[in-house]
This record gives sequence, structure tokens and C-alpha cells, in this order.
Amino acid sequence: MYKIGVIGDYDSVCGYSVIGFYTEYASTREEAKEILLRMLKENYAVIYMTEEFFFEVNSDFCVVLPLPESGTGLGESRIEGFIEKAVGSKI
Amino acid sequence: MILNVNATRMELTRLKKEYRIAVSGHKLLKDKCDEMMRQFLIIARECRELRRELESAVGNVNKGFAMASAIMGEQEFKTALLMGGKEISLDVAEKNVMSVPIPVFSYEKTNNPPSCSEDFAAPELAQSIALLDGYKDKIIHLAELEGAVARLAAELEKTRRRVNSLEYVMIPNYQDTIKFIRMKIEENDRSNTTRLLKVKDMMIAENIEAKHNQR
Repeated sequence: MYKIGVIGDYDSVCGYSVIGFYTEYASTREEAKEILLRMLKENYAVIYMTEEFFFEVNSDFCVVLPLPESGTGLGESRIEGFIEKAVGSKI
Repeated sequence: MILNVNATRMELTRLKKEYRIAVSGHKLLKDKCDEMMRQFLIIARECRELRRELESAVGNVNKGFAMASAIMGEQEFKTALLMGGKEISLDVAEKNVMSVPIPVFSYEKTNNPPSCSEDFAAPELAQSIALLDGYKDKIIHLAELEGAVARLAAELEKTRRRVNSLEYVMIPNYQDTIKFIRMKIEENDRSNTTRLLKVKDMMIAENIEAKHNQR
């Protein structure tokens, strides 16, 4: 059995602990990175990160993705990036 | 480009065999690429729509949390959230889409909705938690879809590169090399025939000269 993790600043992620996600609070990108690297070694299957702290990591098992929140539109542009990578052009 | 091989019949047979394999491999990979692209676009479209929906919905939930925090005060807000719900333990399975394993998540759903400590809580907090709990399934499904999109995109890129390399590099190289070896062998044959004719002429001339000398 695996866990779901959420990394971000307190205000953005506090609610997720109530619905059963493991939340970790970070105040800087470096701190978030450290937490993420630690989580990747543990049994997390999904890790959400706030857009502010999000960065791409290569993991075969764990899915790391930006938390859906009305922010910079990073989540959607990331999906566009995948489409561009797969198709070879913007559609 | 002509490959660096010896122009012999053995090499020609080997290259012809490799050329046939490259052509059938190219066809198979192209079919795989097309089908994978079809499935990828369906998943990517669903993923994009779900993210759009969740981004606006979760944005409203966050506003609710901010409102509750402002009403209750930071300390009370934190205390109310301490009474967290039961942590989810996720079951991870894999589904095969064109031989790409994509994650499928499932978890045991409980009938008790998560709640906060109601002694301190503002109604906005309870509402926001209920809303967020309602989106929980979709948030987890989004992870599933994004995981699938990322893996399929990586595999599609690899397959497309393979198809292009076969189509634009390997197959033309084989064709050029096979043509080159054929021409080289034909040239050798022609040169052998000419040599034989020449030798035959020389032998005939020698015979005629020998007959003249005998007389």
C-alpha cells in the first residue's frame, strides 16, 4: 500500500491533510526539493507539489505533478509540453 | 549513404535480408506509433479538461480555507485542522496501453466524510473540507492521467525517432548499398567476360601463328 504526498506552503496545502493526504510544508524551493527527494525514497505513489515549488523529476514509479490550483498555469503548460513532445508540434 | 561493406554476393544476401527486416519493422513501428498517438490524444485531452476543471474548483476551495483562517484566527484554524481524516492507502496497479505500463490507482473509500474539530470551526472551513473531499477522486484520477500522459509521451517520442531513423536513414542506406553492390558485381562480371573474350582471341591468334610456323 502506498501513500499520497503533498508538498507546499501551509496556506495552499493545509486542507489536504484532512482528506487523507500526507502533507509536508516547505517555505523555499530548496526545502521542497529536499522533502521531495526524501519522499521519493519512501513508499509514495503520487506526490503533488504547489506550482511555486514544482520541478520535474524522473521517477519510474512515483507520479510527481503540480497541485491543481489557480496559479501560473504551469500544470496546463506542462500537459501542452507533453503533447508537443509526443506529436512533434503544438496542436 | 553507402555502408562500409565488402561488395560480395554474401554481403548482398545479408543486406537484402536486413533490408526486408527493416521494411517490415518500419511498418510495424509506424502502426504502433499511430495507435499509440490515438490513445495518447484521448488521454491527454481528458487530462487537460480535468486539470482545467480542478484548477478553478480547487482555487475556490482555497479561497474558502483562506476565509475560514481569517475568521477563526491562525491558531484556532490550525487546531481545527489537526483532527485530520484517515490517511489514504493507495493501491497501485498497472494497465498496458500499447505495451506502455500506465498507473491505475485505487483506494478503499470510507463512508465517514472527513471533518474538522467542530468546537472551533467556522462553517466556511467545514464547507471547504467537504468540497475538497468531493474532489478527492478527481485529484487522484488526475495523477493517474498525468502519469499516463508522461509515460506515453516519452514512449511516443522514442518510437517516432525509431520510425524516422528507419525511414530516412537505415532503409535508404540499405537501398543505396544493395544498389552499389549489385552494380559492382555486374561490373566485375562484365570485366570477367571481356577478359575471357580477350584470352580466347589471344589463344586463337596463338593457334593460327603455330599453324603458320608448322608450314
